[in-house]
Amino acid sequence: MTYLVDVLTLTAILIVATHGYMIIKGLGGMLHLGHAVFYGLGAYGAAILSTRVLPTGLFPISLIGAAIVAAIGGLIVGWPALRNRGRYFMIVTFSIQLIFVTFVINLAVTGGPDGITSIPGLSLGPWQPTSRESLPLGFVTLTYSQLKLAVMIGFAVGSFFLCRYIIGSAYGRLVRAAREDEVVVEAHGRSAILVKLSAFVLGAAITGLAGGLFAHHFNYVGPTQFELDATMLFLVMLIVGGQYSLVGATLGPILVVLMLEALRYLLESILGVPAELTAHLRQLFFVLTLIAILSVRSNGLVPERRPRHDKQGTPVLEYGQGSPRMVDPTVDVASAKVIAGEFGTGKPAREEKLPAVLTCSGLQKRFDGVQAVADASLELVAGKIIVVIGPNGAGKTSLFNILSGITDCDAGSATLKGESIIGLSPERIARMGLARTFQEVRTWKGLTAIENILAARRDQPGANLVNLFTQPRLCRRAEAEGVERAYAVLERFGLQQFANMPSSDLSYAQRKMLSLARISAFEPDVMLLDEPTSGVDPRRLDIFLQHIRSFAKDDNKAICLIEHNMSVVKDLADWVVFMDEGRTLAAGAPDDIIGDRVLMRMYLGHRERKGA
Amino acid sequence: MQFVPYVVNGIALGLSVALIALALALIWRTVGMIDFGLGAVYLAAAYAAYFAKGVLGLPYPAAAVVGLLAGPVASVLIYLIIYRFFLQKGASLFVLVLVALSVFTAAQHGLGATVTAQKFYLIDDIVPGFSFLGTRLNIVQIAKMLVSLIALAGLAWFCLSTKAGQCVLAVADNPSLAQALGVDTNRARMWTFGVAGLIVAAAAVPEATESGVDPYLASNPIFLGLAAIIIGGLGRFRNPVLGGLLLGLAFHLAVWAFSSQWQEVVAYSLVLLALIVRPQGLFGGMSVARERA
Repeated sequence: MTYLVDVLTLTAILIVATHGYMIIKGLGGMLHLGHAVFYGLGAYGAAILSTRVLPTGLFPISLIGAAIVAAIGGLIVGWPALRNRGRYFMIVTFSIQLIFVTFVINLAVTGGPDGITSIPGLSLGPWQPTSRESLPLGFVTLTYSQLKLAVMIGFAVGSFFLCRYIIGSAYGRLVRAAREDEVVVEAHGRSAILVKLSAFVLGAAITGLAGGLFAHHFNYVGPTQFELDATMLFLVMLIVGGQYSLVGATLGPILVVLMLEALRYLLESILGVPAELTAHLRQLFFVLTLIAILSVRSNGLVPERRPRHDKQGTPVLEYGQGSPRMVDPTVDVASAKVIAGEFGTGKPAREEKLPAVLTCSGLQKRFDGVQAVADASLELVAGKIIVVIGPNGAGKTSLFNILSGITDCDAGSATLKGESIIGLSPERIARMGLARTFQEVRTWKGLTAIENILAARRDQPGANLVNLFTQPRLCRRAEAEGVERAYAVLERFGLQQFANMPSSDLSYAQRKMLSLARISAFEPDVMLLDEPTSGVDPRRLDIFLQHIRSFAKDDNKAICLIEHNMSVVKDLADWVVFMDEGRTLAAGAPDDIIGDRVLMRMYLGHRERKGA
Repeated sequence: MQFVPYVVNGIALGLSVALIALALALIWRTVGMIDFGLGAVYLAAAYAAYFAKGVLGLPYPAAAVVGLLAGPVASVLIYLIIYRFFLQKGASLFVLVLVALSVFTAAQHGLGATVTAQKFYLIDDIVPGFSFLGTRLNIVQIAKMLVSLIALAGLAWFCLSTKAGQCVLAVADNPSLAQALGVDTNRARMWTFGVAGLIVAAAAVPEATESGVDPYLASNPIFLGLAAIIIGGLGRFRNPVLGGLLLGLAFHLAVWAFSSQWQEVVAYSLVLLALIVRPQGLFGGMSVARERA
């Protein structure tokens, strides 16, 4: 009985630690290989605080301390590691794992190789129970260890609901978006590094709390408890249950502990294996389980749960249960209504003397010996559509990348609404009112269509982790309002019946449409659309063109698009800019540019040469 | 305290770390994974030599050859039985690393459970030693350095002068292009794992001879090898070697400057420093184009 209570207590603690891992690896997609470090930081933090710093009886304070120590550790590890776009994240966290144990063995404050003993249990103020203490509660009498079990289960349940609240919030959605595509998050005005770092620190803090619980439960911490083996244990627990699911991260530890205990029973009581071998066999069993799970079902038992957002009063297609007819991509897009008035006749923008929203001149960018952009100038005006044309490799996308801050430039100037945007970060430029789409669509694949819209919106108080706890009602109200408005956006683009479908399951044309919907939800002043109609079925081209026109005419945005289809150019453009070899060579009314034989020979000549 | 012995020992360690680092770099560039499974290969080579000598009673040179052969055999088998399945599935880098780490851990604990965690020695006699620049080196230590140098030279010869080596290099340089040009990726990978296994064995057998075998023998060399790649970068094949030498020197000079308990901290701090200051490696060019998502 005591043994069972002990195992259950440890399981509850491991569940909390695995929740922390789930936030880091599952929700945030960070390739973290040093989870035992945060667990260890929390455990050592609590141990040192409660044995050397705090007076006895302050168990909750030492737990908070444990979480803070681990969070600081997360901040120190995460900041430099994530700054490098997470490329070396795995190596950094792995190295930290190796260093941590060495440090702990060699420092005096951590008690060296002997660790820290006689850590107080769950003492609270004057109540300082010994392990034999029993607590009469009305008609039942709880022993100390049973009470401890109840407290630990309480923490596990609390951590479950805390994580569920965070994962289901606007913040959780943003973290998932950053997991799917960091660049696109930054193109929508939020720093992907900060989003990821905050998730990392949050996960570290939760794990540190678990470590603190462990220290108070076990009354001893030592270096061997936090080695690579411990990280492997957490990994198995996370991956068996399902790293993208909180339920999975809760079930994983339970399943693994069950398997281990069954194995222990089998080895010790039935097979009679000597005790010194069982530890090795258990570890062996672990890693073989891990390989088996990875080969059969690398996403674990429980898949990611995508929050559903329903519109009040409108029947919404339940994904996976609807009739196949509804998923047919030819129906939806063509039937979409476009809110559009009459379209302008394409007067050159400059004749109207409107103030330019975005201007740039003399932009240059060189990549390893290739002059991608040599001398690019552009002027965008509200309500007008400028189309950039030119042969492949002319530097059109590079120009967009410079303007949106994704690549820096070597020379030149660019201003957005009068302010220079040279050298600013992509998220800063986006917040100032410039948004772009990408040639290769880049929706956030693991997010549903409506989540793609919601995550792109600017006014989301719930996207800030602090607001979630200080102003929960505001966040909830803003979220409900956001869903309402996101449905309006989806309806405008004819995507409402796919609202709760993962965007990776949408057809190519639908994803292209979704990227237009997403940029419109962000409500920028300037839209840079990189080949918004490429690869779209000609029969449905018209609907795309109407939407783009509507951006300019109804929403009064300044539009700049890259386009290869000359009939689209003629149809849409108020003004055409011709680019070749990184230079904006000519600009004028569509007919003048397309009718210019020299320019067209340049354009087509390149294509012929390339094709040959 | 004498300075030179630490430098000599540092170079000796650096050379053997360089071998592991090269094996890791070769696989990283050709296959696109961090192969911690080389730890299992290291153990296979060390234990094979021990079994040949201690259990079968072969003379030491024969046992050493058995150990050297066990390396590539184990490496290729691990590829064929385990890695190939995941690679063909297009598994992510994280999954591949977990699998490789699992293979390594499985080997450690498998040995721990079957032959116990006890330490065994290949040679019981006291070996003759020499004094060299004020450093006392025994014949095993000298042989270890020589084997490392021979293995480095052999790897260079293989890559530059044999057809199989050229194929491996082509795949390392650009896998999809190599495939398009008709290089058999699977064959190139088998060669890669084979060669990596051989040079790991060339580091493992002398080490086992010098300090005996136990299941935890491989951890330090593999992790130091990884550290050497991070420090040196893997743009060119000389980078891991330089990284390994630097790390070996740091490892022993840390003892000279501080004390032996801090040598791992110094070594891994060097790694962190390298990651923060120059994430592409101190000697440049860690453009891992084939890095998986």
